[in-house]
Amino acid sequence: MKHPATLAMALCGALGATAVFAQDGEATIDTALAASAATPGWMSTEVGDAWTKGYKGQGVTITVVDDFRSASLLNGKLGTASQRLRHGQWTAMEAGMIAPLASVATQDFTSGTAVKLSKGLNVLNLSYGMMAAAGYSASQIRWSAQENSIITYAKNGTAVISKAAGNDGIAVLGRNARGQTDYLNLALKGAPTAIYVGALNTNGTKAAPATLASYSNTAGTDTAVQKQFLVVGVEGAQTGLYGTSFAAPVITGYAAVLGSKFTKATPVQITNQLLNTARQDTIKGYKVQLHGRGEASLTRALAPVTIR
Amino acid sequence: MTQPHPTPSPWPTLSALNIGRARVLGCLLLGLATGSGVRAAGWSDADWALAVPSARSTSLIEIRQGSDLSGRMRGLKGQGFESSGGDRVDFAAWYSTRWTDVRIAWMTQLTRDTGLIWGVGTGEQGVKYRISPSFKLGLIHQARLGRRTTFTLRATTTLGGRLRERPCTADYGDIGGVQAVNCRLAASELEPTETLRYLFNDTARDQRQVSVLFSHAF
Repeated sequence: MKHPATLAMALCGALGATAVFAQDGEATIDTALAASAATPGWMSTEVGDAWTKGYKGQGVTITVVDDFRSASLLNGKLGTASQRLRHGQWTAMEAGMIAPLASVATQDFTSGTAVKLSKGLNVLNLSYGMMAAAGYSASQIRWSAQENSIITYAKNGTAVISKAAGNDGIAVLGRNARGQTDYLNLALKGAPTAIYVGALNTNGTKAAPATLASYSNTAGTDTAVQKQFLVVGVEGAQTGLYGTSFAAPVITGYAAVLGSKFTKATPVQITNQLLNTARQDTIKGYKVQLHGRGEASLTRALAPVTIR
Repeated sequence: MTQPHPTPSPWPTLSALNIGRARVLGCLLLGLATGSGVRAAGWSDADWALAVPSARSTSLIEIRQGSDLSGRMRGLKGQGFESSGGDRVDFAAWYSTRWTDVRIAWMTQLTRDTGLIWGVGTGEQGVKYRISPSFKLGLIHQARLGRRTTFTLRATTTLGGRLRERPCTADYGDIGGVQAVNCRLAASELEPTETLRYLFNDTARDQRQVSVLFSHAF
């Protein structure tokens, strides 16, 4: 059996930082700083009112698997002040800002250890890809305990997985310019609780629909992928942070908010609610091959089907 | 033939015009206004005026349509949310009414210085709320501290008039099933059962009032 070349991790942020082990210990996030700020302009207006009430995310655990160790820092601004943080610190902060009452756990993506789940709803944020030369099947990949656990959770429906689609401007399962494929995307295909998240250039509205960000990977022609593909606005001009890395945490936050409202819902139900309530009318030139189910809508995901 | 001298009035009284109007309104609407001997006064607020103590009289002192509670319901018109399928859910159908709460109050003079305030409110209701009818009771007392100085104390309480909101039944589909929910908060981030804590169940701001007026003319 041919073994694939070593999988390389690729962050789905625009700068594509490579992990370098510069420091020991996990990064910590001071989400209290985020909680004290006014509603940030990069958040969709749908989130704003609810965010200020702080009712969101309680009882849910978000686990961010990302770079928390390297010396590579990114400049950005999610709250009121510009900061220079690691990739994982940014994605964890972003998810935590959308769901302020969720517990946020972090795991460096080079740890290789299985991701532990907590009691209650678990949402995993994966703003990275596992790249290797294209041409292999998913079964040929030897995963570490970390990716094995993630893939198992997605297939068993025991946690919601929010996976950044990638920044090569290709179909999620396609081959990029370097001849590589994201095998983590491939492994998550068809999993009942995995969501691929692409990026729009802004938060769309009916009056001002958004377009797909030029770098964002797309759903492609695979219908199974189309069914589990969402897009959200990434306001890079406001935050300085571009990439589908910063799209995935939005879905992560949305899933946590849903989980705190519908406390008996399973990860499968949460995933389906986000997919089923996505909007197409806020996307300019919507196409299922590009945008999958459409732009995620927290407002609609929280609302009843009917009421009397 | 001597001409009559107008005598100075010992008490401030309602103007003849205002009395006339009050009487007409009272008679037309309720037929309960009685009385005589109510004369012109320098007060700007009819609520504070007392009749000349020549006879026990009842005066209409308030006719009001609407209240802070009515206003709260009216404020919900135009609000709403989108269902999960994108259909507009408008609150107007639930929080409108064909009859707005009307409150009427009278003052019956008991003594030279003291009057009894009493009144009724009709209440109102819409599909998802009800303001119950009300009954108002109170006292007003005026003390003359000097030729140009008066002190007036007024206290009223209202029985009934409570606003109560009814819940909706929302179908959240597979993720949440059918649940009782606060209509206004059905699409919020709150758990459906948690939203029921926020159903309106309030009395009006002026449920109990005590007012003090000190007046000195110069």
